Amino acid sequence: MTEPLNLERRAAVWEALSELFVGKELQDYDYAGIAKTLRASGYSIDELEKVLREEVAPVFRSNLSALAVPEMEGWAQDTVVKEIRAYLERERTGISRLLMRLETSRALPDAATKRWQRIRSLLS
Amino acid sequence: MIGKSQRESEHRSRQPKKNGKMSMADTHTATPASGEKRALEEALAGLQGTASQFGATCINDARARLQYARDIAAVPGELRAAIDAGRISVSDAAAQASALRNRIMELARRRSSPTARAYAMRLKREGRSVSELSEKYARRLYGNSFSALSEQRQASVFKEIIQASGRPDEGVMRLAQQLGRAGRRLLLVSLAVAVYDVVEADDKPREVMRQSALAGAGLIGGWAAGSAAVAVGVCAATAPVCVGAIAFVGGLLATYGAEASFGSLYPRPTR
Repeated sequence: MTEPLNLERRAAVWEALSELFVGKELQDYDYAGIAKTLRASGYSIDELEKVLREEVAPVFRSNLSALAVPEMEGWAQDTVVKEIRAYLERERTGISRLLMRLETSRALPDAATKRWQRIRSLLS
Repeated sequence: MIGKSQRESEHRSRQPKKNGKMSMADTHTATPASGEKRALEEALAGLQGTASQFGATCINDARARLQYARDIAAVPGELRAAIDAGRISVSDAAAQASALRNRIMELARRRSSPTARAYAMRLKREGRSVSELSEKYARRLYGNSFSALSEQRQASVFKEIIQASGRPDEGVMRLAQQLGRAGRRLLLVSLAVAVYDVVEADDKPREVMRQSALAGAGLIGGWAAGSAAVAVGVCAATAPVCVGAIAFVGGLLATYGAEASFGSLYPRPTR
């Protein structure tokens, strides 16, 4: 997405998408709530997927790794915004830019993929 | 100049054992002329120590994570019993559920290896307050703000907070079992090499001690190096790659050190 970041619009999307990386089992009402927030944002599904892969997943995917003791209840919007902005605003040159590209091209963790598929089906 | 007795010693060390086989330990028997073999022995010892370190670390981290899942799953049952017995109100139970889960998570992270701890701490966590959670669940369950709900609905929001606090995702938790299985396999390989070396060694009690020293040094060295790297500020507590690399090098160096010290404390008997 190349347009300037509309933080207010994006923050709610970031918070909703970060829930795909929590350790607890998401319930029907969670999926419905996430889908509702995403729909209200006005972004298309493709745009949302790009935000998920390029902005949210690189920051939160570690919560779903085999090494992590996962956070269950998710993160407050302030925390989500702070973490993602820090990730996006980090200055990158050479290898770190390459690593960032690799990071964003990686497949999502299994649990996040399944959850995203379900959200997609609710959105379409 | 190599003296006669030294040449004899070398000659003896090159003789195969009665059964015609040479053990992995024997292949690198330390004689002055066998520098390459000694290097190979040290490299193999290092690998073995590192494999033990990785294996034991994976098993430990998997255990910590599975214990975490079990502990948080037990919370709702205990709180429900306390509510039913009238020992605690539903709202207090919801607050306790959230606090208990945070405490259990901290304990599980403390039990993890330095690398796993650094990984877990990458995301700074600020636990969500009960009021935040009640608001979130009220909107999710009833599409309304918590304060606008009836008393009965507010109670059901609290109950859902309690329930959700003990509902880990099975798929996510299964990763811990995979980690544990990988650790056990690695440890088994390391054990198999150790057993082979003991079986093939002439001095079996000495080889058992050597293998134990290598495994112990790898494990303790890796753990200590990882923890020390965070404690003295070489790595940030939230930098798993840095902590992991230092733990790896620490384990390797400790194994080399153990191999060298053991060799000088208990020299291999000459045959």
